[in-house]
Amino acid sequence: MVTTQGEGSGNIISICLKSSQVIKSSIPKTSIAIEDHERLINSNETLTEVLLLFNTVTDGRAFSIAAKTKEVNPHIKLHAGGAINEELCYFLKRSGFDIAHFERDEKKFFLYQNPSELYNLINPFKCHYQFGNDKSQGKY
Amino acid sequence: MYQPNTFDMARLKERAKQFNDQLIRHKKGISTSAEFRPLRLQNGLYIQRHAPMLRIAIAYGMLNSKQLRKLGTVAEKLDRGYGHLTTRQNMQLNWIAVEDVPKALDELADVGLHGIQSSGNCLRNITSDAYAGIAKDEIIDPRPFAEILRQWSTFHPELSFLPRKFKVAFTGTREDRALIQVHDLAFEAITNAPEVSFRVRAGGGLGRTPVLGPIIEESLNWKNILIFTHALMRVYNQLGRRDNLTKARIKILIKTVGIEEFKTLLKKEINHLKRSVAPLSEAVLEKVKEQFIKESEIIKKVKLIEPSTSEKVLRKQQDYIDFENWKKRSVVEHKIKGINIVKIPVKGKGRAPGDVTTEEMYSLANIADKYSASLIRVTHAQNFILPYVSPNQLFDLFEELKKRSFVAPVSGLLTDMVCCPGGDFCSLANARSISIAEEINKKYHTLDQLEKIGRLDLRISGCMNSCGHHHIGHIGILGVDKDGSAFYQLLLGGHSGENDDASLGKIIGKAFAENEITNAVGHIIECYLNNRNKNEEFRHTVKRLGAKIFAEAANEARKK
Repeated sequence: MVTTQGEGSGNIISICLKSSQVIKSSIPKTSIAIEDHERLINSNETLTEVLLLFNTVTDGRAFSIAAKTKEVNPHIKLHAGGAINEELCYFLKRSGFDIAHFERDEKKFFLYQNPSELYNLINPFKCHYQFGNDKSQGKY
Repeated sequence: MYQPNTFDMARLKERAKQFNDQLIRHKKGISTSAEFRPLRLQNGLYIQRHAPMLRIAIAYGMLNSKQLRKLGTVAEKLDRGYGHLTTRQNMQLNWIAVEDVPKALDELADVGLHGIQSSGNCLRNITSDAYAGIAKDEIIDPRPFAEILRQWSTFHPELSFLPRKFKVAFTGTREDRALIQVHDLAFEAITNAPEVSFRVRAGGGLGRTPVLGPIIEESLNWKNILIFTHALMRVYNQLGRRDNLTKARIKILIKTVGIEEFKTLLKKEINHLKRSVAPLSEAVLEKVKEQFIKESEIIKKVKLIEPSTSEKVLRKQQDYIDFENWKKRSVVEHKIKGINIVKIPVKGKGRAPGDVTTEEMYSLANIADKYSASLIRVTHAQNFILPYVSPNQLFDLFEELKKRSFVAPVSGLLTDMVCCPGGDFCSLANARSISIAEEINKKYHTLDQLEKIGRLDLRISGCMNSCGHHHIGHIGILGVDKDGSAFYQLLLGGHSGENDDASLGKIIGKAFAENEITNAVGHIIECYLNNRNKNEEFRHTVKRLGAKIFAEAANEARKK
């Protein structure tokens, strides 16, 4: 589980949610737990890059926090870490996360080494019902 | 009914493929069972007591004959040849193999059906009054508004991993046929002029802690439905408990923070969203309305049906009384003069309430084609209705329904009961429900008996999760576990809001054993028959006399 700040290590896979590609990315120095989300949304701190840590894989609070953060600070770069898995990438992207960090896992190599597989996982839908915080268009 | 357009159809196909890919990745070990669980649930796939179960959403209860045939085909090819109608306008297939689900979803997508958000801790498929758009007492047709919310909430990242499930309902009438008072969020139309406005309730629900949803907004202009819902979901997503499943529903949050504080939090979120989100426009509403089949087209089809001649013949026949009895209970006035709504109860002896076989689905699809402009609907009480029937076709329709055992018991009477799958299927159940329903069906099998009792709403749940809505039945039966044995509690005093505020039934005493419960119900009914005033319905007698006299009567059933 990616929870530490600093440089990404060899044990971490980072995915750019916009390009749907595995990238080399540093983990931001500022990491924020979901409970401290007010710091992201309401503070006067000028944060440019932040790692938001999921407590559990089903903790949907982070999606709203990401969305609200992007609403008040559209230029911030949001990284997702903690208890996340690749299946969440679609939701991460559309709620406003830019990069997701996962622990390297041999079982998942085929996913990382197969660009179309990774692309389909992150972009299962060609169009959307609602606008996304990744600037994707929608009906509402 | 809403007709999925090319945009919707493409998303359904993509969704089926997405689930197929997710399943493959899960099988390869890329996602664990815990990680895969919310993904399968968001497609309506449960793992039940004996087998997986697929829940298919029926939008606002509306089906066309093609869709019903497809449900029948999928049930036959990939399940055991029958489906189960639920209390929330869904159909469940109880025996499907996990590996077959992507194929089922892909086939269902061909006709605009799906399992999207029909389970899991997400904003669930939105429901509405089964009589929406045809009800005589309707202020507005709520379906286009529900459809806007359905579209907006589909695959929404902020609504997909909530603290707990979240159910939304719409109604356009004062009478609460959509069970809005027991939904997490509900919109009740209060006026159509100068603009449509809704009264909004939040925090209703049954289950372990039954609550009738309090009003949180007296009048909400329809243009603000999305902003309001989005804000409310953000408050819930943020503050709903995630450490205790039994305390995670929004009703507990509202109770904990207090309704006034909840409204303050909601207002703050609304103000935040208003900075970036515009209210809905008339153009959006018009576009959605266009996706519904035009009523004039439906009526044109109905009027093309040749008038029946057999009713004249019938008047000389013995079964005239049966037909008149059926009409009295099963034919409802339509908002359009000269058209009828016909109820088709999926209940009765030898049938688990709500169960319908493939063969019956095909027959009903043919009947819908012949008598109701190819349209059929599913109600919250596990029944079908035909929404557009010409009065001069009623006898022929009656005859066809009779051949297929869809006329007895007539609707609204005791044996038109609501019942969850219970311990026969559900892994959560403490007790069997279907067997109790069957026993009661056997005990009260003649129309005379049923007519004598009159209108009585019986609801059975196999556990406190309340899928059979036992709290809002005139008589409620709740299955409980006592040292490994199934027992049943009886509730009285409930109703689902019959032109009134709904009421939650209360347990009247100690639970009854499995071999006592049917007789206990029998004694309660006897007590009612002996004590009712002229033309007084069961629930009014209970209200007038109180539960004690009925509890004492029920105790007669206890084996010494």
